[in-house]
Order: sequence, then C-alpha cells, then structure tokens
Amino acid sequence: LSGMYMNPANNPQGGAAKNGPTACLNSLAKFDAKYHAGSVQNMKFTPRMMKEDAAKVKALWRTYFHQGGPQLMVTVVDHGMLEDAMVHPEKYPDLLVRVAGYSAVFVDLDKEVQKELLSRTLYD
Amino acid sequence: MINVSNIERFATHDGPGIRTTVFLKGCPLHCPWCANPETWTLQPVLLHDARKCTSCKRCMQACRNQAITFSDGQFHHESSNCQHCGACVDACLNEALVLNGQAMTAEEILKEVEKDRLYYEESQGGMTVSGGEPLLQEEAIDLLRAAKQAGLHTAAETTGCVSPQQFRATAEYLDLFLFDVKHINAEKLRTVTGADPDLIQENFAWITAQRSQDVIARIPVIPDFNEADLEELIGYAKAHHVKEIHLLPFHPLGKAKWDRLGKRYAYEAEPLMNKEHLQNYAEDQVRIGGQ
Repeated sequence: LSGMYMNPANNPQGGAAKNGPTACLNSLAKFDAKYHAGSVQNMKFTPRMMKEDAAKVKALWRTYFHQGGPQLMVTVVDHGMLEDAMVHPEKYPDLLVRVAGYSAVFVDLDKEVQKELLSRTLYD
Repeated sequence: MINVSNIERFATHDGPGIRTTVFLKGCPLHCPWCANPETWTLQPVLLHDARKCTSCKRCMQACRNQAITFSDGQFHHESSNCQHCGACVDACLNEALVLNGQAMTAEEILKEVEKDRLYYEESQGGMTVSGGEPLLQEEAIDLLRAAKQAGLHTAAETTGCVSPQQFRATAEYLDLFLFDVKHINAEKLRTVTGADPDLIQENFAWITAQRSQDVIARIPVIPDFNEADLEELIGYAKAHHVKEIHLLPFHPLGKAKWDRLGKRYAYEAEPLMNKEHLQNYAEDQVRIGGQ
C-alpha cells in the first residue's frame, strides 16, 4: 500500500469503490453529518451519463438524500480528459474540478493532487 | 443452487429505471461477437490476464490437476483438467487470474439485489436477469419467484433459446422481456450462433401473442451478420406488436474477455459502431441503444 493516496474526505480510496455508485452512496448516507464536521462526499460522472441517463442519475441522487445524505460534490468529466489535461494543460484552461469543497481549475493544481483526482472512480 | 457469473449494481441499460443485473451462467448459443463469453459454460471458467502475468509459474505449481502449463513463457490452461478449485488464483501474486462463476442460492442473490431497493422505488427500476441465457438454469425460476414475492420489478434479457416449458414457467414471474432478435433467417442463426431457431420462434410467438406490450425486441447490430437485414428484422418485431425495438450498435468491448479465455475474438478489427450510424432507423417505437 506504500505510496497509495489516502482516501479523500469521506470517500473511498481510488479503486476501492467496486460495486458502483449505489453501494458507495448507501455507505456515505450512513455517516452522521454532525460527527464528520463537513467532510465532503464526491463522485465523478461522464457527460454521457449526465445527458443520456439524466433521469436515472437524478433518481440516484434523490435516493441518497432521502436516506440522509447531507451533501454531494459532483464532477463531470470524460474518459481520458483529466489524463490529457495533465499532458496538454494549454487545451484545458477552463476545466473545473471539485476538490475538498471548492472549485479549482484542474491545470492549476499540484501534480500530486491531479493524480489523486485521476485515481477516483469515474461512473459511466 | 444457481450458477452466477456476476451481479452488477446501478445497471442503466437493462430495462427501466435503476436496476441490478444478475448475469447467470450457461448459454446454448456461441455468438462470435459475444460480449460475455465467460458466461457460456455453467461451470466456472478461468480468465488469465497476460498483461499482468510475469510467467512466474506459481499457478502451475499450485495446480493439483496439471491444468496449467507454460511453453515459451506463455501461459496455457487446459480447461478439461480444471476442477475449478481456485488454488492457482490464490497463488498468483499479480491478480492475473480470476475464476468467474459461483454457485449461489436464490436467497443469497436476492439479498444482494435488495441492497438497492430504495433506488428501484425512486426510479421504477428493479432486477434484470441476463447472461448467458438467464432462463436456461431450471433454478432461475426460484430467483424470479422470490423477487416477485419481494415486490420487485423483474426483467430478463433472453435469447429465447430454451424449452417452451421452461420459458412459460419463468414468464409467470417476469414483468418485462428484453427479447433478442438476432436474425430471422433460420439457417444463418443456426450456423453462426448455434441457436435452435425453432425454439426461439416458438417462444417469441407465444409471449408476444400473450403479452406483446411486455416485450422489447433487442437487435444487436452486427456488421456482416445482420446489418443489411435491419429493415426486415424491425418489420418482424413490429408484426408481433412488441412495445419497443432497441437497436444495439456493435461494440468490441468484450475483446479483453476473449483474450483472457485464450480465445481469438473474431471481430477484433471491427471498430465501435456509433449511435449516429443507426439514426436513420430511429422512430417512436425504434430506439438506438439499450435503455
């Protein structure tokens, strides 16, 4: 496990979420927000998913909030886009990602933070 | 016991709403474009990822049945010797080996499916059985019955290539059929896929005569197999008054699985088909892509 990124806030470590977003959200909804003092929960989706499966994504989030989920930070990004942005930052001046509660311009972030963002599961 | 290949949660293209898809093992067909070739046999199968393999031969040493050999540093698995004990999988340090397939009871499967009940209720989703041919195993009926008794919406992605008795018995516990219409040319269907066209025809005619609005015809669009005959296939489905027709554009995403099974994928040179490619066929009843 040496050299592996720690899990970001309340979220599973990159690669640890193996059963899809419902499993992940079920777990996140179990935390009591009064104990984790505003730690965030985040999730990455592809633009395809947000467009073509919009109704299903909506139902996904609604169920999470019904279960007591306090907050969710969503990043919408395509396969390979973050990888490409690391190599060609000049092509992505306006690529926004959510990191620890704020929006950041991806190409301005530190390389290590960029890599951690890459390691998170992308749902498509 | 039911032989299960995989259980996929948050399946969004296997019927209405958010669903959990249970992939069951065993298939009477062997379509050369298959995306799930690991489901063909009822028995578990060993998948070997050459990219992760370092040819350390720990798997070979762990095997008690001489099912694994190496020649010129290349891994070879003799499935007729394999007892599916999993010793090779445990011995591998690089996670290059996976044994796909496990026997589960209907209750065990349903317990997994129940985890996302709230999402089904919010989205009018449910459970889909797929495969393989999900209606092939007699015990599949136990799972479908249990799901219905638990109040879940049930769907099956079926080839229809099962005995009419089995098909009709399972139909009682199915709300929706995603019925494969691969071809209506019996000879072509038989030679290329190994299907029994008479069984498929009989089951399709029976279910559409009873409950045509519970049937969605799904046509996997395969270059050189049925792409030139789409009008005819759509017409056939319409004549049976199905609720919808879904054209599924060809994709080569199953290739890695063929590689891992040590088989050659016949469509390796064929690129992914864009949805736009089929847009001319789109109309109210005809949709492009699985939904």
